[in-house]
Amino acid sequence: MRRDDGAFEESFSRFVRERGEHHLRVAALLTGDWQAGEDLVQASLIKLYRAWPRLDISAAPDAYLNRIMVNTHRSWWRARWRREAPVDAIPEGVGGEDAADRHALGLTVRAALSRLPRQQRAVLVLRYFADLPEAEVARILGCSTGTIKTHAHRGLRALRDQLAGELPAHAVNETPAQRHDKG
Amino acid sequence: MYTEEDEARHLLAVAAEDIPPGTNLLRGVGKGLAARRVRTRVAVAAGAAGAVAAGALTALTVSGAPSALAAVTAAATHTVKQSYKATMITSVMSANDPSVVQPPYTVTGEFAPARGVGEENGGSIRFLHGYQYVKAAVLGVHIRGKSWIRMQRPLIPRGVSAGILVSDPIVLTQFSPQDLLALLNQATTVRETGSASGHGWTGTAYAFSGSESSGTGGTSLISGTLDVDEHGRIRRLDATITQRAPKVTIVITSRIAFGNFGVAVSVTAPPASKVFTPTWRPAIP
Repeated sequence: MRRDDGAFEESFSRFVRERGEHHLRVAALLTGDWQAGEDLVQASLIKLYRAWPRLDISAAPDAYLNRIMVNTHRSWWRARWRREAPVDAIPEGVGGEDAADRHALGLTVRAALSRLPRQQRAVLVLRYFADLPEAEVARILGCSTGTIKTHAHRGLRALRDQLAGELPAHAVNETPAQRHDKG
Repeated sequence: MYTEEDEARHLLAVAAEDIPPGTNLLRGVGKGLAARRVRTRVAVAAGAAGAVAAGALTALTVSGAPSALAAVTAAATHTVKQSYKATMITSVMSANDPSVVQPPYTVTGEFAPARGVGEENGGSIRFLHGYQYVKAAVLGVHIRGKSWIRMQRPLIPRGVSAGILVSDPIVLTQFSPQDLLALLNQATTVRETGSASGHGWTGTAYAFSGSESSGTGGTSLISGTLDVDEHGRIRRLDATITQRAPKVTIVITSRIAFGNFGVAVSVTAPPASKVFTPTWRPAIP
């Protein structure tokens, strides 16, 4: 049964309002920058919108959108028409607590992420940013949980290697709580 | 104990916290979205119809029977110097990636690529002065006092392939002509297959094929047929592009018919006061 158009529009808009920002953050981490991330989310939302009438939106549409975003990003790579978004220059002297420094740290981490193999990056983002369980990540990426574990292990190591020398030790090693306590 | 996983969570959280201001994910998503999706694709696809022929067929000069190559190369070059009307029907299929599937859709328009002007579907999409103007209603967006959206997208022959259609609407605005030419440069054979004819014309039929390795484990296969009339103009181009990657296969089929050569193409820009130029839509380089 097709939902009426008004409810359809409203439920979709509400989902984007409530969850769009989270998915934009995921997309920015997958693509490496905010503009490409916004493009990815919008392209994925278009697909989600078309599928919306057929979805059981009482179940989490997040999972469906996650799958669309990963597949869409993969298709960009596959087709090689992905925009090559230049990564902002990494400022020197990354560290400290103010907004500019945290912005610089964000740029550095996104740049490091963008240098990882696509699958490793997707696993890190879905597993450690979106906080999805391994089984869910495996479903989204279409592989086994064992493969996810492997990608996660290698991805963590690769990310650390990428960041080595680019970040002051405290930027990597302090927990958010420790940082908060200092403030 | 602060683990490597905690560290990753912290770093990723920081990397995702500086969302730029002004982001609006609902922009362009809403009523009329289906129309937006189709029209956005075809705005480039049909506008570049001549270029499709030019790109695909010029690439065929790589190898093959010299006479057939010479004929289709000359036809491609000749065709994009004309003005014409074109009708394009395209579909995208995939057995294992439903998100890219598109049922057949049609666009009609008239174009003069050499002058960089054209319009589609009764003027709701226009190409002029290096820009594409699209009626806001077509894109499904509503901007107070504005009824047209202007995007930087010149209508020029750029060697565009029907392969762009596999892409998303967003990606479509970002494609690289060089990438597409590289895809088509793998077309390696062309041969004459017989005679062809249509309403008021006769000519010669050809077939072509080729392939490309993507470097990421995937391949693209291109094949198709075309008709060239007695005046050396392309009348019909049927192309199938099969993209194979691990676990995913996508098949794009596209049929383009050209006619009304020499048609007078006159395009006017919408009133400036009614035009909105978004900053969020990237321009084609």
